[in-house]
Amino acid sequence: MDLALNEEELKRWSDHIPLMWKYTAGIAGERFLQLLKQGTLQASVCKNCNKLFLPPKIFCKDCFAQLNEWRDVSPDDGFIYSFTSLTSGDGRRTVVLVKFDGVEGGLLGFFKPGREEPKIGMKVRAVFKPKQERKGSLSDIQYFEKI
Amino acid sequence: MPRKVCVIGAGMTLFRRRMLETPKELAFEATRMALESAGIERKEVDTVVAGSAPDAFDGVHMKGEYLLDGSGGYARPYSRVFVGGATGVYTPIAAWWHVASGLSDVCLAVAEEKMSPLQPHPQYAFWSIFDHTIERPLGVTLLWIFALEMRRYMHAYNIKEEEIALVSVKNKANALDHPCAQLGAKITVEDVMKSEKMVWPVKRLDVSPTSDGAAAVVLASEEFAKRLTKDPVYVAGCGWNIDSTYWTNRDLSYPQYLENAARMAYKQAGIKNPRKEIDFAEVYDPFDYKELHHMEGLQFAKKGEAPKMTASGMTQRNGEFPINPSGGLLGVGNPIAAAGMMKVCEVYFQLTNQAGKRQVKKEVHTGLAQAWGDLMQYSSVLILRRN
Ligand SMILES: [Zn+2]
Repeated sequence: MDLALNEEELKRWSDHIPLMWKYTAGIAGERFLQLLKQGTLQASVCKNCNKLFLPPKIFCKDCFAQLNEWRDVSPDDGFIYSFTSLTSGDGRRTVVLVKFDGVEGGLLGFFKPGREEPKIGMKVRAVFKPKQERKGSLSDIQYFEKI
Repeated sequence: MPRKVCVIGAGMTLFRRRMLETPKELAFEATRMALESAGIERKEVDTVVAGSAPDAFDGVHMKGEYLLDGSGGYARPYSRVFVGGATGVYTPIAAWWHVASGLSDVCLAVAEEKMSPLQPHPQYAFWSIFDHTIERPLGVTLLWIFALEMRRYMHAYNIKEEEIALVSVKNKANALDHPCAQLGAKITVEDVMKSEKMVWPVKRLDVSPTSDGAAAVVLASEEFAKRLTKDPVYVAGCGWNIDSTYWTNRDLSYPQYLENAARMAYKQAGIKNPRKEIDFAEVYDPFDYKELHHMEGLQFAKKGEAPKMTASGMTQRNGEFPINPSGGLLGVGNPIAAAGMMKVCEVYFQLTNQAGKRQVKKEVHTGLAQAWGDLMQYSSVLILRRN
C-alpha cells in the first residue's frame, strides 16, 4: 500500500497559537512607571530588614512584610555593576547593569554612545529622555553617562 | 509510616474578572494572609510549593519561577506543580508529602492564576492542548468536549438540563455569603435555562467565570501544629489519578479516574462509607454538571443519582450533606489553580468555625476538597479532619 509518504502535507503542517496579552503593571509597577515618566527613581523600603528595593516591590522577599514606604534614589548615585557590547544593524551599543549604593536590585540600560569606555565600578548617572518623549517605561532612561 | 500533617492556616484574595495586582502581588497577598492566619512568619517556613495552571494565562513563561518571591519561596527548597485544573488541590497534596516525609516541619502551598491578561479570551489558552495531528485542524475548543461530556452524562442516566441547573442556582446563592466572591447571585432554574446557549447543552449560567486570584494554605507537622492549637486540623487522606491522554477512549458519563483518586484518599483516611463519614465537601464545579459528575465519582451518590440528591435539598448549605458551601467556582469564581485551593481553604475555614455566614449548620469534623483538570482526565482529592 502506498502511504503517500511523498505528500509533504501529510508529514508536517504549520499552525500557530494565536495568543495576545494585556498585562497589568501591578501596584508597585504602576507607581514605578509613573515616577519614571516624571524623571525620578524611588525604591520601596523594608524597615525590618533595613533594605531598599529597586525596581520596587510591594513586599519584602525576606521577611514578607508589606512595603508601603518609598524613598527617592538619586539618578546620580549609580555605578556600573557589569556591562556588555552588542553589535546590531544600528551599530554598537553598550548594555549596562547599574546598581545604586545601599539599594538591592538594579536597572538595565544603555551606556551613553561616544568615546568614553565603560568600566566596572564607574560612577554613572541616569539621563532621562526629554519629558514629552517619556511614556512610563524603563526606556524613559535614555542612557547612563559617566559622572 | 508518613508523619501526621496538619493545616494551620489559610488565606485568599478577592476573585475578580480583572485584578490590578500582578500575579506575584496576588500570590503575596494570599500567602501573607495564610501566614497571618497560622500566626507564623516566613522564617518558620521550611519549604514552599506553588501551583499554577497554564503559563499562557498570566502570559509569563516559567510561571513557577516568576511567582517564587511572592509565594514566599525565596532561598528555600521550592517547586511548582502543575496538573491543569486539578492543580489547586494537588498543590497542598505536594506540600503534604514535604511534611509527611519528614523533610520539613512547615510547608507553604500557594496557588495563583491571573487569567485576564490573555486576549481575546482566556479560553484561547486551550486551543493548543488538543492533539495537533488529529483534532486541532477541526478547531476544537474545550467547550465542545464539555458539551459532549454533559450530553453523554444526561443521556446515560436520563437527566434533564433543569436538574443540572439546580447546582448553579445553589452555588451562586451560597457565594452571596463569600466576601471574596465574584459572581454570587440569586438566580432561578429558569434564568439558567434562558441564558445564552454557548455550546448546547452548555449555557452561560452553567459555566463558572474566568477570574484572577490567589489562595494559600500552610501545612505543618503535628508537633508544630500542637504548639499553636490543642485541636488541629489534620490531613486525613489524599489521592490523585489520571485517565488516558486519548479523551475519545474514555467513559464520558462516569469519571473512573476520580473514583480511583477518591479510593486512594479514603483508604488513607480509613473511610469505608464516604457519604456517612464525610460531613461536607467542596467538589470541583467549573460547570454545574461537573458537581453532579464528581459527587458520583466520589461515591457520594450512585451513578446517575446525584441530581436526585441535589433536588432533595440535601446538598444545600444547611442540608444533611452540604456540597460547595463556599459557593464553588460557579459563584466564587474560577482562577483555575487558585479556585481549587479556595476549596481547600473553605474546608479549613468550615472545620475551624471560621466560615462566618457560610458556616454549615451541623457540626463538622471531616471535609473533602476535590479538583479536576488536565484534558478533563485528572482528579485530586484531599480530606481534612478535626477530632
Ligand atoms: Zn524585610
